[in-house]
Amino acid sequence: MKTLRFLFGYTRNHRFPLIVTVLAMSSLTAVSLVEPKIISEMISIVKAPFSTSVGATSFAYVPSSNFIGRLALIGTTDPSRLTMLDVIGRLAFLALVFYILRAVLTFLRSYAAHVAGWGAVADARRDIYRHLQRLSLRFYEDQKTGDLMSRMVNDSDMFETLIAHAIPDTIVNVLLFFGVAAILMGYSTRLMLLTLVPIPMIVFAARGFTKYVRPAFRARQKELGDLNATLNDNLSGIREIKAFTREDIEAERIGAHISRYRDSLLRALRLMATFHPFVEFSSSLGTIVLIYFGGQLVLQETLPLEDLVAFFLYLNIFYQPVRMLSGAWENIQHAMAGAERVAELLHEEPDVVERHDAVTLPERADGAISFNGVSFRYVEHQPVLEDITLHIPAGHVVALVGPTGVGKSTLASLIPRFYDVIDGSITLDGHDIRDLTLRSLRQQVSIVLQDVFLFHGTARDNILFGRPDATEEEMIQAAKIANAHEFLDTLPEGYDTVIGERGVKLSGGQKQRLAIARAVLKDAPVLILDEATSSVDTQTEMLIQEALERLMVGRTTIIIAHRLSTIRSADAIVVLEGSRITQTGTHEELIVQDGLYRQLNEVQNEIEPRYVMLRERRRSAAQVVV
Amino acid sequence: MSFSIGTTSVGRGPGGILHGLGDDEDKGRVWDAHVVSRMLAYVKPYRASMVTAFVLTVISAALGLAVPYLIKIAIDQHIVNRDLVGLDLIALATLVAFVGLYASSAIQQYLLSLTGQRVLGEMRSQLVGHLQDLHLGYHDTHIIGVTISRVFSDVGVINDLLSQGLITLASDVLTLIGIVVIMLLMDPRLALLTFTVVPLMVVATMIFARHAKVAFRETRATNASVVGDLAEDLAGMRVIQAFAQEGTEQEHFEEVNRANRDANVRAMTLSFIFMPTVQFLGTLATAVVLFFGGRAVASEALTLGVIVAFLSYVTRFFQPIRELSQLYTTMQQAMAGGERVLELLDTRPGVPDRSSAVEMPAIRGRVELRDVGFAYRSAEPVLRDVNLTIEPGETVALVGPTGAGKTSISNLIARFYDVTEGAVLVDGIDVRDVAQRSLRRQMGIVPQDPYLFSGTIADNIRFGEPEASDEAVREAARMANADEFIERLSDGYETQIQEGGANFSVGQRQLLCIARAVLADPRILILDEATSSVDTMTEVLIQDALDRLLAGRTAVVIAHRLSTIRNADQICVIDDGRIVEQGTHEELLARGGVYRELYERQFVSASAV
Repeated sequence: MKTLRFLFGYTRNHRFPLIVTVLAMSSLTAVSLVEPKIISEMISIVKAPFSTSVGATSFAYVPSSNFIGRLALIGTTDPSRLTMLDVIGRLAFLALVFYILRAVLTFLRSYAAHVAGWGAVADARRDIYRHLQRLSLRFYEDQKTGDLMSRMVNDSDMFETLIAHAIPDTIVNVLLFFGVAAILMGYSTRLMLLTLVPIPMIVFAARGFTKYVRPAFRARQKELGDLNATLNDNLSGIREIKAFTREDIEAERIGAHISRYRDSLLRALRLMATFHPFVEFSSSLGTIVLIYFGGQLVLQETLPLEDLVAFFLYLNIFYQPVRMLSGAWENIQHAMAGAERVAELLHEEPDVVERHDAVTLPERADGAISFNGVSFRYVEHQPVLEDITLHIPAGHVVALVGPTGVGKSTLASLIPRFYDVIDGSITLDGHDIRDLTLRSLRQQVSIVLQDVFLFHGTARDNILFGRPDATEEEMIQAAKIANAHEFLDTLPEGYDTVIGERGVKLSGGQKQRLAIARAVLKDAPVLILDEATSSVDTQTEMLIQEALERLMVGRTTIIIAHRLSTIRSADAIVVLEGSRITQTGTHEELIVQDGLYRQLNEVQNEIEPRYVMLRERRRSAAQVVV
Repeated sequence: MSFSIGTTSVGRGPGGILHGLGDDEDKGRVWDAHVVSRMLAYVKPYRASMVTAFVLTVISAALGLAVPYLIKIAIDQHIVNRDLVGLDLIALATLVAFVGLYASSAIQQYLLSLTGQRVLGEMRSQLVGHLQDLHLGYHDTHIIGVTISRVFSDVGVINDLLSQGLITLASDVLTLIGIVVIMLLMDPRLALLTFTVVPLMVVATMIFARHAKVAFRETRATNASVVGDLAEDLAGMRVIQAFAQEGTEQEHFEEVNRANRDANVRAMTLSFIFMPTVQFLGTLATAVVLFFGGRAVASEALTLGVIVAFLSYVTRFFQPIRELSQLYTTMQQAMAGGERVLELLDTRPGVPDRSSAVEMPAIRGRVELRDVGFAYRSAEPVLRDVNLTIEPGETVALVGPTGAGKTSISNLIARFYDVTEGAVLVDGIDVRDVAQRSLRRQMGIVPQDPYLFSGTIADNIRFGEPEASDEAVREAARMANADEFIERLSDGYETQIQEGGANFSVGQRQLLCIARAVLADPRILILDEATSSVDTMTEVLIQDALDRLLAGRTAVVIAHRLSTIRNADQICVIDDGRIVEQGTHEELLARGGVYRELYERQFVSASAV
């Protein structure tokens, strides 16, 4: 019920098309119900006076008492003066009018329903998107992108299914069924009841169809997914497969997957081949009932022939709703499940929230940062950072050192408030960062990460990312500072070259420098640097180093450091171990302390003398083998 | 601590041009005799099923057409003449017709899918087998997703044509002819009047088909941009939030989102105009029957039953017409798909075994490159005049800038590619004279960014030796210094590996791949050292494991670590496709050439904790 309310919330903006849908739908049902009546009226005319010659004035049209009869007489004052041909013409014309009406209504119904449906989908996607942006990075930690995408794209599509198809179809079908039943009852209650006989069979067959055939197709879909993943795995690792000569084993393994997929599909198709004709057959039993019992009734003259014909014509629309409803119900359930997943996502509370009374920082901060007894954890009972106290004066460079997974990146992420501290506080120029607006805080911080993310677009778009209104000169200046201008200039379309996955591929070093240019242009007083670990060639390395040094000038910098040179030149080195700061100081201070820092240095030194020893060891081993 | 004597992680051989997605517009031919005959060869073994299916199709089409005629007989001959017995007979006949109709169409459908799926399975297995045999050069230059779509979509559309399409064609044509003949026989004049609607239907269908294709392509394209935009923004959420650009991105997304909505509505609108139009044309035929038929009945030129039958036949006109127009598209797609599949099947492995190839005898480990020249594309030589001899048990470190040809040398030794000039010899035997798998079976290759397959850790270590015992797997892990972290995992060796090894750190992945190589126990080892550094402790573990792995084996290492380079028996400095310097670390330093320059610059500027 909650889900339904949530869903209908999205129809609110599309009330007009929905009203049109409902109106068109009801009119359409009425029109569909009238059509067979015109034909039966016609038959009653042509059948009755077989003795009357065509065009004879002696023909007296006795219209049926229903409104078709009345409609046929519009424009005449004296029905008795109509010839039979006149009446046939009038009825055929009437049929034509109804057909046109039906065409128009069908269009209106579907069009309006889809405008509402796709409108709701677009609204839902907009809301999800907006919401996703508000969620903190913590949320993204334990979400697979694929899952989010599917909620956004596939699940929100369900709104369309529901609003434009499932619900209108259900309503139309229910209306149709009872409408036809009422009309048929008017002709002959007995015959109507007889035509109800095949319905349990149809329901049974249709239920079987939804119960067995659809799950079988879903199972097939799963097998297909598996097969796809296996093949993807295989092709991604083709180098290893060839290196270890696993070609035959792999071909066989995937061959088995292919057979499994084929078998699951065949099972689904076999079920369909069983149930589908059964559904069709049960529906056609009605025709046999009509021929047999209806024929008898006509012979007994308890049922006029034209009514029997009408029965034949109504029969099609009579069984259709029964067949459709069983499928529609499944669609509705399916769509509701989708809507539920969307709702779940939208109800996810953002955990980094701006205070109502948050203040905007003045243009540019000085950049003094303090961690005051900060604790942080991603998961309950697994502290990542505990009691971190650290004061970084404006303009200082601090190197964070420690083993992998120790929380160096986490510590840096707390400054732009990607996450909120659990205990303690962080201040920027004395303001608790939680008292600032997110936008003004993040404008003070530049981040250059190890794996650079560039957006699909031109190099220009990417450099201007943080300051779209910068001038051409400013942009080029930033690129020059970042040592990126030179290579950008050689690209086919210079700064307007499309880069990224679907454009020109940049090397790791080039991406780095572009990211530095982006940060230079942003010109924030605080800089967070995750030093690149993957090495690039020497020249590039030096270009990057140079660019970073220029970028660091006059900014408070926090570096997650790997290079000895960086670490040595930092104003302070902070050693993280476990979840705490264990050492703070300059290189000279720390190297004389008995701690992790010295150990790390020693390991490095220890590797040197091992070379000779190892080479000897290997040679002697080789001699044994040869 | 990564000592990188100039390289980046892009040293991946041919690189450059990837064979793209191609043109996904299926504007090709509707009939390509070559493609069809090649494809029909797959169906040949199932001739009997196909013929049976065809016969059943004829039967069900005929029975489908019989029912309205039976109703006509019921009305004209039995109801009007009050013939109760005859009416019973007709009811029975109708029942029989229905049973026959649905039974035959069920069997026909099942036969077709059975055949189709078998053919499909065979084609796919053959394709996958073929893909395993294709040389690395093929895989290096083709996007995986595109290759996968050959195996799934392209094979799929061929099947649509072979198993469903051709029979549908027969069934539709037969039904149309049947309706026309029966109507003409019942009443030629009324039939001809009714047929006037048919050209209108055909024209409407054709117009729609043309516009719909464009419109639906548009919906697919806009949907792809919604998905693409979203995927990108989710991946770059950290950057978006860091630069406080939520607003701009939101606007952009809404634009894409709106475009998608509008495209959907437009495409749908087309079908909403089309469906009622066609329905209307169908009912126009009904109106024609009513008007002219009604007058004819009134003048007793026609019986009532004929009209009822006509009304029933008229409604059956449209479906075959629509199916035929869809079939046209299916045929186009199938021809294009068939062509692509055949192209793949006909791609010959670029590194074929000679027919005279023999099994490589047990390798001692001497490797020699003799005047080797090599080019991925004929005009651009990657290696020139490379001469290099590696004695059994020796370790050679290849160093040099990106694109110098280090990876190419290692590819040639493993015979992933063939030399264009000169020869590669292992134990004095030209590698082109032996079966490549027998050669590689005795080689171990640890690539820079090793790939872990989905499955358990044990499966991955066992990769080269599927028969290895649990004990051997553990021993290999011990040798590779991987046992410690594996045993700390809750599922130990049975821990599942996620897509490409995402749940393990780079260092752990390397240790696992070393274990894999240890277990395979190769005579010759080719190692592309990872460039991304790991923390110091892991680094030591890797170094130690590599030392054990290298001991007693001939090894060619594309080296980035200072330790490995200094440790090598020979260092080859490669630049621009040639060996420019060769010797031990000490010798090369003393020479004061390129190596010394690289070494000093690297060591001074980039050694790290």
